[in-house]
Amino acid sequence: MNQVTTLMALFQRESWEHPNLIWRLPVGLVILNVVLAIASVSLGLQYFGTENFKFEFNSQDLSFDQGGPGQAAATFFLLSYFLLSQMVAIGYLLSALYEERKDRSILFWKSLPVSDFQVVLSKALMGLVVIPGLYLLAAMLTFMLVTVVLSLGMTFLLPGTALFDGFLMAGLAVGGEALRVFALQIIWGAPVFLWVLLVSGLARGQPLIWAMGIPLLVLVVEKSLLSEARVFDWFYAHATPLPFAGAWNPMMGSASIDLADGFLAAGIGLILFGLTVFGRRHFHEI
Amino acid sequence: MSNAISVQSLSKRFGDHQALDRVSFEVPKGAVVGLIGPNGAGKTTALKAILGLSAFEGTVEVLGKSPRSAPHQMMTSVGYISDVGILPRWLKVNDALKFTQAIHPQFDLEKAHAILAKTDIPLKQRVKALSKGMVTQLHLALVLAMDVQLLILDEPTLGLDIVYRSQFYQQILNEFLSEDRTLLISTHQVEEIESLLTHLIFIDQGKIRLDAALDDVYSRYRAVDVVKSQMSAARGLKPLSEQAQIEGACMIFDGVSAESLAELGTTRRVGIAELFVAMMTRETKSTASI
Repeated sequence: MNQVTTLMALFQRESWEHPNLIWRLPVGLVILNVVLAIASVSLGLQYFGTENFKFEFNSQDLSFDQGGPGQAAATFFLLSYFLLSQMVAIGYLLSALYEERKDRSILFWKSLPVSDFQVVLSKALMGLVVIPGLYLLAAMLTFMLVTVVLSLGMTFLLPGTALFDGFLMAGLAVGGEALRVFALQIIWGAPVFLWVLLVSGLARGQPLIWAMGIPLLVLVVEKSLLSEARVFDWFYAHATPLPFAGAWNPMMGSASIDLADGFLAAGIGLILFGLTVFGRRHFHEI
Repeated sequence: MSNAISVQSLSKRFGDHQALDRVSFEVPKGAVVGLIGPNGAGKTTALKAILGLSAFEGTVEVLGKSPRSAPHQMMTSVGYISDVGILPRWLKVNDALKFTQAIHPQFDLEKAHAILAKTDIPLKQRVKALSKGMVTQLHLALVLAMDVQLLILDEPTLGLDIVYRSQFYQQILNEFLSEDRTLLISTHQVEEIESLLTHLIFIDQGKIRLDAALDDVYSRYRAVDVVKSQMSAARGLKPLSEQAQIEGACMIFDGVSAESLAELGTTRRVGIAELFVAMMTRETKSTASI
């Protein structure tokens, strides 16, 4: 069968196994935020009343360009969804290769003409790319819908499309940066994400304890022998999502990572990926 | 390639335990082979080595391919059903069909639907909501629709009631068995597969005890209901086993002429189950005496 067809089928399989993590949660968040926005606007209008509304906007307060409420709203949604997606992805990867061994369904999957490489690739891409990507789309959708709700609700105060236009411009700017962060995070987070996937494929039980325990053991050994913990510190840094690792401040400009560090992260990620494929091939039974 | 499976000097060790000890056998194409042995004999270990699911020493060839090199490619022509319960519990029946169709080049969705239509399995149901028997039916429907050349079954009817077991083998007979298709089945329930088998392999403590075509087994081994008056004479022919009966005993003989046996009592075709028990019991006694 076509490699792409098989990969898409494997992605679909993951969505059947983890519907809550992969699509129900982001869809639910979109709906929740839109509902909250509608409720806020409705209640606000009801409370203040459209005729007796005395709130006076300062023209600067109403700046919907860079640095204004539009950027704040976009950053809030994109950053919060991003952070959530990273936690969801780690949780997904921790069980991705463990559960199929625990319930012995790996014997069924291995009885099909799908290679260990394809299976591990699908799960790695799901954790590194697909889940964060879906949550990013959900964040953008949330921001757009909330913008529409706010614009509609505020038209009596601000006739015209000033709010909508302003929020849209801010959203596009922040969204562009979010896409850049999303792409860089794939490389930045690869060592840790693929470490978690490796543990999921090899642990005989309690994968979370192994995933955290071994790095902590490395920390203890490094501190004891070398008085510094370079390896642990490096992994710890890469365990921190990019926006919180000091690599990106939406107010300060574009996100970036050091080129050499990026290559190192990618290389380690590839090694861990290879080990995971090898592990699934040879050490799949609990 | 006249053999579907060729196993040479297959060995597997788990720590101190030698699960398989230089086992060699062949499964001819078109054969229906029963791999029979007690618990811990090495049946599942042998099947997993054949499927490339575990490391092993020795040489294994399946449909001309080595399971070491690219087992997933081999699985386009090989179907495998382990004991009940390896289908993922979260998987819906429809999704199982959809997924298999997407990744298996020979999967016939219409055939799968036709097979499932004869069962009570709802297509929108998840595996966890199905009974054990239904799970096995679903798995079998998937495998039969894959149009494989070799089907390997490892205790496929474990835990199923007699109705499901009967339906299972009937389906295999109707939908799978043909001249060019091969079946290797490991089971304890020897009696219900005896009518399907063309070849027999007994395995015990990691070693092959018997490897023969069923016709050869029937001509070599005979069961005799020995009358009381002939008991001494019968024992003189060194039977494999002796089971006391109200009048005399039932004995199984290896390689004794029909004429000699006819004098002892009523001869009949030996059952695989009783032959298996006789051989395993004899091995146990030999080991104990050593």
